[in-house]
Amino acid sequence: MDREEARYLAEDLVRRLLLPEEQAYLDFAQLYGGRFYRYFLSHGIPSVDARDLAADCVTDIPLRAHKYKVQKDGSFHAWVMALMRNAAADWWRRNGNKRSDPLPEDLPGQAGVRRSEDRSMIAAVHEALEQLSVEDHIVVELRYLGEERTFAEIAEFLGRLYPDRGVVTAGSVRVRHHRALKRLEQHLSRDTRIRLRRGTGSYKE
Amino acid sequence: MKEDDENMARIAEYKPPEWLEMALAECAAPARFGQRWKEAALVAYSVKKLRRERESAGFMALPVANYVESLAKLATVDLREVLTWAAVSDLRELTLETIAPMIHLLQKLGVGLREALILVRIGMADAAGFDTISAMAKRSGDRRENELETCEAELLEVESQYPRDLYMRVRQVLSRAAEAFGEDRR
Repeated sequence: MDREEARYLAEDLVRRLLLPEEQAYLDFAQLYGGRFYRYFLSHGIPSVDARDLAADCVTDIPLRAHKYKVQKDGSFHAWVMALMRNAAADWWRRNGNKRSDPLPEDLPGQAGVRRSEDRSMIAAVHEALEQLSVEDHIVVELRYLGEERTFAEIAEFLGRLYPDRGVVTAGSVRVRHHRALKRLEQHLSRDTRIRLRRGTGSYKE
Repeated sequence: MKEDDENMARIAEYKPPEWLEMALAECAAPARFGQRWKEAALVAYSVKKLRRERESAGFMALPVANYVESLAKLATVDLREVLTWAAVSDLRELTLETIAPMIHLLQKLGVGLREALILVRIGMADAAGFDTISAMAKRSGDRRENELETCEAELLEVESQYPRDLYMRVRQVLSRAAEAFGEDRR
């Protein structure tokens, strides 16, 4: 994520969370809910637990926003990511030793546990998304990784996050979408985990 | 100009490769998860409003249930979702089993340990039929500066009249409450 973008996002989103503005809490959920979920899944947390842990983070992290301090080299995003990693570590501390035997890897859908190849693929996508700028990430997130949003809806969301940048149009989101997917394609086509997956014939070429 | 039009046409027609679409689809969270996160966000918003109200209202010598309900009324917050999130099924049930979630909720609202214990003690006295509130009002008059000391003194007096089993139960609940205050909830 670009440092300036990250800082800007911090200033405005934190300000709105502290007001408190209801829409800021919903925006936080849209911005981070799916991201938390993918991170937890890619770290071996079963799907339903990953969903609930993501929900806990969506509630708890904004409530700690008053503790966030603007730092020269840090950002709100980095702070949120650190809390997310702590939440995953805490989950493993609480639940890791409850499993006496390793779960079979080849049971798709078994108790919501993803196979390791799924997890590594999710991790590859998660990491590639983190390479994108914050706005590109948001476009992909809202278009593909949850309830599918139109370009106009994404434009409205970006307009709220970046009020000083003037009107964001559906056309400009479409251009950003094109650019973001091209970048994602570049990152992922080089990724061994995705190449392996494509090599197994799981994905149509 | 013609080049721009061509670029725009290419962008409009762009379709990502199928493998990329499939990879993204596999990473997508089910739509109903989004609803769950939206509800979680609204709980955070309600708690934030309650916390703000608590900051301006400060301490009030009330049974804990009435205190939380008063904050909710002032903040115009529907408590149901917040109580579900906090795992508090009944604000008036103050037992060894239910006290930890109640204390965690008070913590989230910004209530300190000393005040939380007083609120619980008033709640338990109230449930047992002892009127502490009017006695406290009589004792403190209009002075607010020593309100906590006044409450604690009055509670000690009231609790000295408790039957032994009730007294022991109150002590156990308070001990569990103090322990819960130091726990990291999640």
